[in-house]
Amino acid sequence: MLTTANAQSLVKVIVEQQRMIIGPLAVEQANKVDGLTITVDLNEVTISGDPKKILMDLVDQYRRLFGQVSVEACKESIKKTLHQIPRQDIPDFLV
Amino acid sequence: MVATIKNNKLTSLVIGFFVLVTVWWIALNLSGEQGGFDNYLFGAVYGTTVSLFGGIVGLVAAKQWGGWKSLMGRAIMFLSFGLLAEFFGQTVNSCYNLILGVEILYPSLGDVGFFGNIPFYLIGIILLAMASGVKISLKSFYSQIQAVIFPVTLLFFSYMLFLRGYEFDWSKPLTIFLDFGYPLGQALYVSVALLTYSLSRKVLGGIMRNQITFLLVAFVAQYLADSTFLFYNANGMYYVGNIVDYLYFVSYTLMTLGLIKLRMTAQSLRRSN
Repeated sequence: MLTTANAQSLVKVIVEQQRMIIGPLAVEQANKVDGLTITVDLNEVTISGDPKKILMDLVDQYRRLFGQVSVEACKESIKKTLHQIPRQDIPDFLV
Repeated sequence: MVATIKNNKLTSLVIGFFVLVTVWWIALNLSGEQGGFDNYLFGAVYGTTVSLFGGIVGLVAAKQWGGWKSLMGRAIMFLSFGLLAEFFGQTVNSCYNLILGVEILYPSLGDVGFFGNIPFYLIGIILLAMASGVKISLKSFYSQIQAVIFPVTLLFFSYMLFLRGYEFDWSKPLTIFLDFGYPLGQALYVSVALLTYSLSRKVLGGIMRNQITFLLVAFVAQYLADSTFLFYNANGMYYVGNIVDYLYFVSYTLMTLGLIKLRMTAQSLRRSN
C-alpha cells in the first residue's frame, strides 16, 4: 500500500526530473493534476485522494508532452528513491 | 496547419513574408539579373529579416521553457543563437554588397556568423536529442551502431563531395580551416538530426513529436542550403539571389516557424487543463 508520504517523495523526484527537461512547465503541469498541489520550490507537496491514482495522473500529464519518453524519464527519476520505499509499494506503471 | 496560421499572428506574419519574398525571388530570377543592386537588396532583406525575427522569438520561447535551467530551454536558446549567428553573417555580407559595393569576400567577418552557426546548431540538436529520449534508445546495440554509422557516412560523403582532391595552400590557414570546417561541421549536425529522428521515432510521442520532427526538417533544410552553397561557390556558379539564397530563406523560415510553434505550445500548456 503506497502511503501518502511515499507518494509525496515520488511526486517530488518526478517533478524535479521533469523540471530539468521542460522547466517551470513541470510544476505547472503537476498542479493541474486533481488532488495534487506542489510549490514552485518543490518543498511542499500536498496530496488529497488516492496517492496511486494521483501518481498515475501525474505521469499521464507528462506523457501528453513527450509520450513514452516522459514515462521513461519518470521511471528513471524514481530509481534514486527505490531504497527508501518498499518495492511492493511502487505502482506497476513506474517500474 | 491552416488553423495554426489563422490563430497566430506571428505565424501569419512569417508565412505572409515568405510568400512575398518568394514572388520577389521568382521575379528577380526571371529578370535574369545577376550581381546587381536588386540581387544585393534581395540578399539583404531575406537574409537579415527572418533570421533576426526567428532568433528573438526563439529567445522568448526559451525563457518560457525554463531558459538555461532546463534541457528544452537550452536547446531552444542554442537554436536561436544559431539563427542570430546567421543574421550576423548575412548582415556583414549585405554591408559588403550594398555599402562597399563588393562581392562577398571569403573568408570575411561574415564567416564568424556563418561558421558560428554550426556549433550552436550542433549543441541545440544534441540537447533536443536528449529531450527526445535518444538516451533510452541508445541502450540497444542496434541503436549504438546507428549512432556511429550516421555521422561517419555523412562525414565521408561530405569529404568525397567537397574535399576530395583539395589543394592545400598553407599560406591561408584560415581558409583551409573553413574549407574543412564548413562541410564536416554541417555533416555532423545534420547526422545528429537524422540520428535523433531515427532513434526517437519509436519512443517520442505526445504533442512534442511533430514539433521536434519539424525542427529536424529545418536542420536538413539548412544543411541542403549550406551544401548547395559550397557546391555552387566551388564551381563559380554562385551569385546573390540565386537558388542557394532561396534555400537559405526556406531554412530560416522553417526554423523560425518551429520556434514560434514551441512558444505557442508553452503558452497553450499553461492555459489548458
